[in-house]
Amino acid sequence: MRPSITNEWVRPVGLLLAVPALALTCIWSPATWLTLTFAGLASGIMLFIMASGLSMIFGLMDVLNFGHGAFITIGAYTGWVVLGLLGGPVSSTHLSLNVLSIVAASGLAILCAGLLGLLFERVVVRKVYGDHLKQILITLGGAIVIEQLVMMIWGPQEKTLGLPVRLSGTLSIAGATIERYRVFVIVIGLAVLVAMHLVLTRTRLGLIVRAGVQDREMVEALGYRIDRVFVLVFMAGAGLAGFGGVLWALSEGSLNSAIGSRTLVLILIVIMIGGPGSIAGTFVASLLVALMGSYMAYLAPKVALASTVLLMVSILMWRPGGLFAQEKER
Amino acid sequence: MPAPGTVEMKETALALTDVHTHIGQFHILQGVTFAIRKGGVTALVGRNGAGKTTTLRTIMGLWRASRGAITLQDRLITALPTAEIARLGFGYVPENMGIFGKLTVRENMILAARSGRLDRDRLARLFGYFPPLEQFWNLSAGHLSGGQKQMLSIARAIIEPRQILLMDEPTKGVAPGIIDAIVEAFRDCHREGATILLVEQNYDVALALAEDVVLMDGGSVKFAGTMETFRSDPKLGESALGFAAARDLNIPPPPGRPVERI
Repeated sequence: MRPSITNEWVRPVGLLLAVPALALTCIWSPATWLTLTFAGLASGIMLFIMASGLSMIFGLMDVLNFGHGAFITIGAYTGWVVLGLLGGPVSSTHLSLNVLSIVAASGLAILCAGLLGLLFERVVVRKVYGDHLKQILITLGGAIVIEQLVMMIWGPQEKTLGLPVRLSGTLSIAGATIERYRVFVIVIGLAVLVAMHLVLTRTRLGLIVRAGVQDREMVEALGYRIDRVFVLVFMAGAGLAGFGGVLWALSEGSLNSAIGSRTLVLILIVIMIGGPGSIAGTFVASLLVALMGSYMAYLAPKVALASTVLLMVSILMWRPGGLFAQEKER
Repeated sequence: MPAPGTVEMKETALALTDVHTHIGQFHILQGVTFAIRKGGVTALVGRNGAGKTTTLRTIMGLWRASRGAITLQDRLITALPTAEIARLGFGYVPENMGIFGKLTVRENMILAARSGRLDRDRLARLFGYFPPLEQFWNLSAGHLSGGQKQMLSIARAIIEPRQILLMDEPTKGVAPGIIDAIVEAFRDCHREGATILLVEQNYDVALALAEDVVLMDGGSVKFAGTMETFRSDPKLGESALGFAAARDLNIPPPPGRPVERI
């Protein structure tokens, strides 16, 4: 009578483990493989942080927000400005001061991106509920406006930003060279995942969001204003995108106003693979896409991006709704 | 034909006046007018496509009335958002049961308890009607059987005392033993003072519970009155297809039914 609850996890996670395993046999050098795996995991975590909010926005209100990249850009620039002001802590040799500088930069980035998200939802998205074509056009347009404003304020040239002292450089594990910052990002990302899980399973707000992804009408019929909850989700998603923007810019070491729109394609692929509205799906898909990208960039650099698209196509042929498709009651 | 729904009532809980509902290009409700008595049980009957589900959805604000008025004890609720209508004291079991399959039975119930806390005594009572809910308390609701989902949907609607219960075919596809439990649950809610509007195709259930009947056909009300009047007119029964068939079986009304209450 009682079917296994973990059933839906078996294949996606199996796939997630199969990719590194397969890569190991192709690369045939454990040290190189470990380096690439850490790089992939770190990028995957950053992708997850940026994509999770967008996935919930789509899952909950069926809103296609192609302007999500703007929040990444705003977050990245906020982080760059803050880190620029915090010269002392950044160049300090104390790990705690280094981490604190990133916490300060991230905190302000989350705040700015979140507030921009609130404005964006009120001014742009609210008018086009229920109309996908209008949503794509107007959110894309809104993002272009924001991107151009950023360019007007800070100029079109590439900005560089350096990692705090104790987070730059590399570690050596089992002969593999691993960047310290990547380990830091993985730890941060897992903390975000745990926090998100707790909010979604232990709070009433989380229950409303999870229930709303499946059957919005019924949540309203139980007496909850889902449009108000959605504003919160939109803000949180924008804030997370801003956070991801800071982490991403630090990882790249540079940024320009297109950082968001460049990342958006990858994020959309992740959401399609994971199944819109599923946090677990977004997490697995982020890691899958990033690991694949990391290995392919080493094995066959010329087809690295094509391989991501190929991955998406083959997964959607296998599971059209994504790895963790949400059944909707409409 | 006399205007339907004009029966004089002592105290009205919910009233619909000339309600029209359009879904896309279709004109589904074409001037629905009826009132239900406070604390009473009203069966909303009619053949498939008569507009019963649309009527309940329009009351809940899930579809918007394009014309007309819906009032809850003299308060106009036609234009309120669904969530605010619900908070005025509605419990709603939709036609598709509206179960959140990815949430556990427990989480479904927590969401339904708007006050924020599950009342232990009341929960024990619900477990009494529907034991599987206790058995599968921490299981994803999506894994429940059809009948168990229906139990959960009803339990959600009555987890707290509600003024008005809108039940859209709560006994559809449910085994007879469970139907008895559902009838018992509704009787207890009725005793508590809840007003119940019940869409029901099962004649026995309607007969066991309802004091008043609203018969719909083609998107408008054809009859509104007491169960006694309804039963005494064979033509009305034929309009409510499922009822006509049941009438031939000549099922006696349950003993001790009160008569003439309006």
